[in-house]
Amino acid sequence: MRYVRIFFLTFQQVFEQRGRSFVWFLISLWGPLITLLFWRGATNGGKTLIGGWSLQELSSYYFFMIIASSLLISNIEDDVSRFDIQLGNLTKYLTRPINYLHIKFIEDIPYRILKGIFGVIVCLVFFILLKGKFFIFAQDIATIFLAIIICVGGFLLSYMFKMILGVIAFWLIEVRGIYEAVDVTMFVFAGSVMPLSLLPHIIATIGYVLPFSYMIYFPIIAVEGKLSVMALCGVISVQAVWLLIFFLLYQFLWIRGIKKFSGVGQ
Amino acid sequence: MAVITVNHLSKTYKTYRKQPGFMGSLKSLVAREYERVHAVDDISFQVEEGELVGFIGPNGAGKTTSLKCLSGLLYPSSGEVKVLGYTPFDRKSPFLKQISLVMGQKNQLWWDLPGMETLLLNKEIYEVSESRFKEVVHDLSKILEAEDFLHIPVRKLSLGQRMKMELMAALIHSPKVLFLDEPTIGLDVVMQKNLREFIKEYNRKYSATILLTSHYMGDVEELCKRIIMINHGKILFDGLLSDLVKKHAPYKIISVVLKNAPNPKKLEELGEIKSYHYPELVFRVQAETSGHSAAKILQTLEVEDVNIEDPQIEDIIRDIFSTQQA
Ligand SMILES: Nc1ncnc2c1ncn2[C@@H]1O[C@H](COP(=O)(O)OP(=O)(O)OP(=O)(O)O)[C@@H](O)[C@H]1O
Ligand SMILES: [Mg+2]
Repeated sequence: MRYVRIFFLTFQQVFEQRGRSFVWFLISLWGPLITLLFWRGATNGGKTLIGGWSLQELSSYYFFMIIASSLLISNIEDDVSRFDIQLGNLTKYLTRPINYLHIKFIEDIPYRILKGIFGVIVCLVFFILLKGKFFIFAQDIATIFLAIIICVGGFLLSYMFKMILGVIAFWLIEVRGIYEAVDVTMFVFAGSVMPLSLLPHIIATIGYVLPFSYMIYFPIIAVEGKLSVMALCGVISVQAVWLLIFFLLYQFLWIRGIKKFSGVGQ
Repeated sequence: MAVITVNHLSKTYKTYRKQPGFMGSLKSLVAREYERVHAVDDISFQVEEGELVGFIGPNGAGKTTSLKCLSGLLYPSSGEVKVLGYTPFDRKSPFLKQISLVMGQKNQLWWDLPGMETLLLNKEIYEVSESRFKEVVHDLSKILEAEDFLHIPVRKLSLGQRMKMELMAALIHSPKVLFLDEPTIGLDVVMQKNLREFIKEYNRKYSATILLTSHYMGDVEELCKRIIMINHGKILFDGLLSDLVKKHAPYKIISVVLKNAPNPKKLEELGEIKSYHYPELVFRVQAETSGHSAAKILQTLEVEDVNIEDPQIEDIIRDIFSTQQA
């Protein structure tokens, strides 16, 4: 209950900045939409299949990608590295009796909801314009249920991963370069360029091992109902393993990093 | 029982130097020159419950670093710190719920929302009960005269009003131990006075233990019986302010306004002359014999006005820091 109340108080804070985040969101839309136009050409206006994917399936994939990358992918690393660690805002978290990992999580959720809503609105517009033709959903309850778990798992994974990126700033002053390299890696292996199964075999295989596909690619195809119940459970297990690894790694870094923190100022 | 115990505490920062410009950046990539700053260097002291102690020293003396170690923000390089029986760096909840660190230039307030929202957030974080919260907000906003701006977005408040909100946010859980780092910085004279009154009152009412740093001697003189002087990370003096004065300034200042210019030779026999801009003449005389000296001065000189006072704390402290011994 305490966390719920803290969440609602934090939500207002985010809401004050809604205008700015919407502009950023609109900019981020270009990627998927332009890729879609490309696929339209590549499938010859929808007449041919590519790697077993029809234009309809591809479109659905990219529309869901808009939602997934705004709803599930945390951007907390900037906050942690720049404001909290480098500018010393961490001070205010450390002197209050609340776990940093928890409070940052609570602070991140409003952003995800807000951006997720933007994503849903955009997709709704397309859904109505295209009369629902280009959207594919899972149909049976079990699949939907497991897909939701995978989406939550995807968010948790991206949150923990970004927190780890964030606390690297305890050691490195210049983290931007690393973040950009990670962004590019994620872009390929999370399935943002195209569905992993369409990538060259070797890259796809790497993608299935790395954690990134479990943040975007698998949540999307799970929602689309492209996976069997067995496969869904498999995805959840891999997510759980990565989550545990990330959590332990985060704790390891945090305990050491915090000893280096000097809390800038005065 | 001592609320704060510090034993041989040291904190060393490791920073690196970078030559300016592009070549400097390249060089620092290859061979970084690290430099150690001994911000706090083997200090020990104790503070009893309810004490209000002033922590003073010039810029870079190590005051803020000490407070950060005491409040659990910094990991000590060596030595031991205990506050309320806890090791601050462990940052256990029961410890954090009993302390507060206020830094004049840092803030925890949400910028775009009214201060009240941050108070409500802290109420949840510190798990303060509804009724207790109401009571504390009522009390604090009354003493701080903050009722009017509790509901105005923080970014629209003046510096002084913000500082008041900051204090309220820091005190919502009624901490037993309070670390105040330059709480009066940037405030006007009236606000400074208000704030001092408030700190005194808080100390008295809740028998809270308070450690305060300030560059305004007025704060320290008015609030603190005991002071700890620190420079270059080392303690120069720890004791009663009055003892400091007795020990380091066993003299009094006698200022007179003269009726007419006296013979300069006669003046020197009367005592040490601190300044002389006719008609104002200032002597510095031994404290024990100040009565005698004053009588002699009045007998010898034709005087319009006379004034005997203790030396300024500010002067004494400047003397000590410039000679570096206590
Ligand atoms: N984060 C940091 N990294 C490296 N050196 C630091 C850091 N913070 C402080 N220092 C250095 O440690 C020394 C003590 O600093 P500190 O902030 O404790 O001084 P202070 O007594 O609070 O001074 P002031 O009155 O200016 O606030 C200074 O030499 C300062 O340059
Ligand atoms: Mg300071």
